[in-house]
Amino acid sequence: MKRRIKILLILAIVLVAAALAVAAVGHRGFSSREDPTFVEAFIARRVRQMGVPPDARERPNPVQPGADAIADAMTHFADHCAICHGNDGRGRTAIGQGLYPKPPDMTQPETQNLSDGELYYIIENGVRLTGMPAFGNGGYEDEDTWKLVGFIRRLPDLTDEELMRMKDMNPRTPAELKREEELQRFLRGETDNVPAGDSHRH
Amino acid sequence: MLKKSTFVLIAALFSASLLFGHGDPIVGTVTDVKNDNFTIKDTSNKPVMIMVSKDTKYIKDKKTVTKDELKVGARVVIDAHMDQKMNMYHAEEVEIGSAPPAAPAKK
Repeated sequence: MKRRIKILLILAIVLVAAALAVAAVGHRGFSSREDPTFVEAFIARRVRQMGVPPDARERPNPVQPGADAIADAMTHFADHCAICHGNDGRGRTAIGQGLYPKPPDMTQPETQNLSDGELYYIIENGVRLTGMPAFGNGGYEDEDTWKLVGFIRRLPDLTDEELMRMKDMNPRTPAELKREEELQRFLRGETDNVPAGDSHRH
Repeated sequence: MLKKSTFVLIAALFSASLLFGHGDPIVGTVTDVKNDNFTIKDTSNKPVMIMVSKDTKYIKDKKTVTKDELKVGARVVIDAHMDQKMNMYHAEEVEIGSAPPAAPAKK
């Protein structure tokens, strides 16, 4: 009898939780423009933390963060990562801000306090149900990924000059290159006629 | 066939989202500069007020400069995002043209 009551109680709790979740989706919609609630963020962070195997977490970075390694990683980051994370790692990009959850500000302790091994594991394996894809095959030998880990440590101290160099390395479509040239001509005073772009939204 | 069509559709949607999501900078000529904002006349001659903060970067001739370089008449290209709370653009980066600022229009 007692067992039956327990099962009914658990069922009732699950039903209420499910009803609350449905009500929340109904109320907030499923737009990815919003930020996750505190509860969602808390649970996601804990699950991600638990998902990194202890031996991966404790692996040290085998690549010394010398000037060459940082330069390689900077190019790699500007080319592959900046479209969502931004050159400065703060995630303030059009795509980043449209994701759910939004990419973290990687200059902040939530990212900087992760171990080198955790950062490597996340880059290699991605994070489910987020915009973060797996960029590797899951091994521990990818030198480029370890270089990126070293570069992520440098993000809080990037200089304006470095950020400007990265901007030149960001991938562009032919249309974007053409647009950029039009804007530079406008800035140099060579033309007053700048055709409107797609929108002001950024 | 169905698989191929689905892949093409998804690829097209993704490419479109990249193109449209990237946005476009705000372009115009500065008409007024204040402490925490400035106003430009955009390419369609409409005034647009832009908020600035200590995080806003100013660039001229590929070098970082201070806000003092932002003068009435200067041509600017602004990377900005819409501040949803204030319902105004907030500048992240302002590129200032090397062309000498145009003389303000006489009233």
